[in-house]
Amino acid sequence: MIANNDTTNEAQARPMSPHLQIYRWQWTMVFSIAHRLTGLYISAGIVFLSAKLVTLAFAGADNFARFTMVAQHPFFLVLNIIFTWCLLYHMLNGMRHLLWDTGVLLGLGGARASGYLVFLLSLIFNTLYWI
Amino acid sequence: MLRFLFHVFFPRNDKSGRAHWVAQRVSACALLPLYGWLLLSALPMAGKLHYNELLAWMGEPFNAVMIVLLIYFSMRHMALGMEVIIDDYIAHPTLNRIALLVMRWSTLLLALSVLTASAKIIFFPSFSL
Repeated sequence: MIANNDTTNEAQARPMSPHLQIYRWQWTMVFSIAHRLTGLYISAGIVFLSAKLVTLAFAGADNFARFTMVAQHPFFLVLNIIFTWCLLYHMLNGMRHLLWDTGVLLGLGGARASGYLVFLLSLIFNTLYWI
Repeated sequence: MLRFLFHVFFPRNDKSGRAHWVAQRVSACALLPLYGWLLLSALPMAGKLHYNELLAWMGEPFNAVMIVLLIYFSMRHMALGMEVIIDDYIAHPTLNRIALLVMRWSTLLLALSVLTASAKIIFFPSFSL
């Protein structure tokens, strides 16, 4: 359980951390939010992969063929391309987070440059992956 | 084993958050090579296979171990990440607890169903319901 930060901060007369809407939008925060959003998208993708594995194990050849036929629809191809991009971005940005944990690239310049690099690399890798 | 699985998904209330921090990094480091394998080797190969070939592919020990590890660490990492998101965006104490409960039980259920499916493919490939 978490404490309600608003009341505890008021009670202890502490300054409040500004809410997200207060900040001027910057690319570094977009990269940070994208890490969460891609994580959520990957989670949804894993639910789909899990469904495929359970179908493979228990539903028999015919039903599995039906499943793969639906999954070959162009709509799912688009979702797949987004999935691999999310995965690549989350992996690369995750490495950036692990690097931060060792204490490097924490400055403004390093954080910004590595953020752009991760974003660019994820786009390049995803293009290479699908062509 | 069951106790361990339970513990992984329902860690003791750790006020410092240290266990969460460590677990997130450990699972992240484990997932990097696993997803490298999935993207570069498993998906390009297994994506083209049909039912029987796919079952045979899953039956190979290396592939099976990799898939099971991938699922296990994915679910773990997923639960840890969603816990942070829920704590950040659902401030109401009761709603927060409900959301955490639903999230943890559904990830555990998902993990168990996929592990059951993998075990069935690996150990009883010819058995059908």
